[in-house]
Amino acid sequence: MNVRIRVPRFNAETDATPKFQEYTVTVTPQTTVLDALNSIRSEQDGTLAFRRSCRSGMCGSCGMLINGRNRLACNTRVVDLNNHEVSVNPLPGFPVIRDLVVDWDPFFAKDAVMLPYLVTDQPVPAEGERLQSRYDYERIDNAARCIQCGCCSSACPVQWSNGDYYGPAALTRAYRFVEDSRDTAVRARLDIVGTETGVWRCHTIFNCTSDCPKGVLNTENIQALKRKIMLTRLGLGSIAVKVHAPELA
Amino acid sequence: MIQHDVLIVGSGIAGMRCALEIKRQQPTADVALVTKLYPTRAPSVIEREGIAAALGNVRFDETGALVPSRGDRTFDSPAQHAADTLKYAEGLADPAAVQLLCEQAPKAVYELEHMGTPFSRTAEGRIAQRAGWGHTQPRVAYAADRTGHAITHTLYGELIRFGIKVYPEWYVLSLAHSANRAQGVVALDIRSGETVAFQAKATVLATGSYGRIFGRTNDTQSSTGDGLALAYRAGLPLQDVELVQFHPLGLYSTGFVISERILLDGAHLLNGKRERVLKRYAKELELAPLAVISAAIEHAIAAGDGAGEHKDHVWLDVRHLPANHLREHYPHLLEYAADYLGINPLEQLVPVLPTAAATLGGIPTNLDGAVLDAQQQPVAGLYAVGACASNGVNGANLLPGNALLSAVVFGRRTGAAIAAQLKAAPAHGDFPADALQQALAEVEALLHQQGDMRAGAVRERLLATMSAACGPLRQSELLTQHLGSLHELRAEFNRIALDDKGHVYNAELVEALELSRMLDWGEAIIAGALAREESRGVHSRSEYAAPSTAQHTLTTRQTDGTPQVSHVAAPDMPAVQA
Ligand SMILES: Cc1cc2nc3c(=O)[nH]c(=O)nc-3n(C[C@H](O)[C@H](O)[C@H](O)COP(=O)(O)OP(=O)(O)OC[C@H]3O[C@@H](n4cnc5c(N)ncnc54)[C@H](O)[C@@H]3O)c2cc1C
Ligand code: SF4
Ligand code: SF4
Ligand code: FES
Repeated sequence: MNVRIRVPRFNAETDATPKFQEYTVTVTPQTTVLDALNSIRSEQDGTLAFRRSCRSGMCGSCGMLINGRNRLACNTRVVDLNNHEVSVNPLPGFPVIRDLVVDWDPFFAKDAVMLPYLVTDQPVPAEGERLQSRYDYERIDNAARCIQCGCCSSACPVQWSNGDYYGPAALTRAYRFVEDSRDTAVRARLDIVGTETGVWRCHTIFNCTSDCPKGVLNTENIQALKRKIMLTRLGLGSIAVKVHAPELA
Repeated sequence: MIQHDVLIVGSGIAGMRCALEIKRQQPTADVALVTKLYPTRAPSVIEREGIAAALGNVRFDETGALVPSRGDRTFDSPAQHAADTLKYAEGLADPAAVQLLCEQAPKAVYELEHMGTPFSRTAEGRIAQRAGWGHTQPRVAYAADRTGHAITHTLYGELIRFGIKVYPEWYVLSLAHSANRAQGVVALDIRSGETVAFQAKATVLATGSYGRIFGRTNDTQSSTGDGLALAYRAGLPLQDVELVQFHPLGLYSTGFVISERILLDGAHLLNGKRERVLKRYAKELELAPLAVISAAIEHAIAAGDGAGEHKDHVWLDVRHLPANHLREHYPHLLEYAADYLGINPLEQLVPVLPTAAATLGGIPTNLDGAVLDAQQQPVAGLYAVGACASNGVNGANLLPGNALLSAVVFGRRTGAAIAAQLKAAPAHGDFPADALQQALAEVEALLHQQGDMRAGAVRERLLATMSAACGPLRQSELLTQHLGSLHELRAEFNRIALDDKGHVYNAELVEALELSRMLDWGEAIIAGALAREESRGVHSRSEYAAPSTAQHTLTTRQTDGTPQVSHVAAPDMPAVQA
């Protein structure tokens, strides 16, 4: 089967607006959008710029707007789009460097603001690991799936209109540590996210959750952060962050 | 010229763990990482199975089921882990290296946990562990089925905590050395197209595996073995690069590995006639060694017993296994099958065939990560860690979970060695005057080269050639023939012309640079496979069914560009202790 792939061509150094270009690619039922882009670059037009690495939906390099939805090119099969025309665009809301290649620096800078590492006033155990109950592990399991692909942030209308908004991926990162029973910097992170550029910007539109290729519950995480901030202000913060003892079987 | 005390090429688990250890031991050290990807996109993120360590958090009960150890953590030990590793390595591993790896393993894993790695948990709240192929005890510690991802993201957080500088999307082109000492690298800023010299007192190669040279592989599109090229082009030897582990359960169309644990759980392999593939090849059926299973699948397909329209694969049948067990333990199987083939393994057969899964050779180093030259002497200021290094722990086969473990253990150990070196603080040396010019010349020549071939076409032929020559079963005749094909491909590379002559984010240029390097060290793989006249571990030669003397191959590039292989005896195995 042949499909037509439409891509905006753009170079921030030389162009003011993108020009669209179409390529015809022969696909099989197994061909992914990434396979199609790879074949364009190697067989038709080497100037097409896009990122890729793992091919398996784990590295987060290949987030793109494909037929109107933010997804990973590498785990989207062309046949599943049910269309002979495929439009591929760079992630909306990100500055474009060239073609499908966007500037990640602002995205990772926001992530770094969240203190994306364990902060604790508990001493490191002399022997062995810190204990964590399965219940407490489950509380971070979903948020820890994030691959930093940007699909959520680029689906967020608030992000489009306000570039300073931390966006769902960074807020989920904060949530992952706030919920971690081993972390004690809850207050510090709630202060970071409880600002005008943080959770209070979110209008609970759910785009970020529906476009996440890893099933990360961004909107729910942001709502939970809002609740925690409110509880903390009422002096009840510890209720929500109580550590659960392991079920000593 | 950019200057740092230490420059680490690669931000996978090995590179980041190394950077971190230097900062922990020497907080004033100026450490930077250069990577051709963003740090959280390193190939380490796709590792799924786990990291091996004798923590003893779970044990097998009388029925063989896994249960928490209830405080009794004595039935597993680093010595047992080392014995399993040595057995699997089939005589080629260095017992001292393996002992070190296994002794340091629990501490290395606990440290990852202390940093916040979200490991799955036992009912007792300890790090969860599971059984692994070839491990006599359940010692593969895991974070759901995304252990590499969990560790990578945790170490990335540590880079931010310590404010370690990262240069993302810079492609390292060459090593700079003068006065018998590494002086840093020259790298291309992919985003701007600028080529820049980086000077450092210590340079660390942490560039990962090299599976991308095979047509069907589990590896990422970035696993192009650039680190091998950096060493090889600088006249340094490569060790055992012909040793590549093939996995029988590669998903049709992508080559992604489905965990071999599923065979222990009772999955079947069926041929085109829906008969058990292994019936004719191994009495243990699906519990035979993985290399035997891979070879059996290749034989079955060659004999016309393959499945599907093109008879080019076999079926993995899991339909008789409990659905909830599959959902809980093999989410990657269900996800891959749905995403890449549009099928449901609970009801349908899954097409599979052998795929290149792990690369075992690399740049020879000692146990402090110092790179060794052809005379086995350390090269001052140059280190290699992780999947690109060969320090004797791998041998002729690799146990699940040991690769991640060596990235962490030797990343850490090498970091400590470098921190100690820095205390003695040699000043920056003399950066070789022509290093930048030479690298620039390579890039400009490639950009402006005229010709009638496409880089993509040459790459396709290279991958096909390597798969044909160096698959699970290797033959002298084919190896010799394909050594010749590689010469031809090198000549063809000189006839390629790039479409993209620009400087800003020229991905075609980067892919062509990777290709030119693969054409160099690819030859070392074939030459090594030809020189290894035996069958041992992952390496099977049809003419030599048995192992011969245990020795490493060391392949160096001669002045005319052709590979030369020499052999070094592998350290003796200790007498087996009861
Ligand atoms: C699919 C898969 C499954 C695996 N399963 C297991 C398992 O079950 N258990 C286990 O223990 N191990 C497993 N491994 C192996 C293990 O994941 C690797 O050995 C380990 O992650 C390697 O880490 P690393 O840091 O050495 O390299 P990588 O994570 O590969 O990182 C390489 C780094 O080098 C950079 N780089 C490369 N070339 C250049 C250049 N020219 N210029 C600049 N930067 C460069 C890259 O950008 C990247 O940052 C698996 C590997 C794969 C691919
Ligand atoms: S829920 Fe919040 S973060 Fe998500 S898309 Fe809507 S506004 Fe953006
Ligand atoms: S939350 Fe989901 S969509 Fe957002 S960056 Fe993470 S994985 Fe991507
Ligand atoms: S290439 Fe890694 S997520 Fe698509």
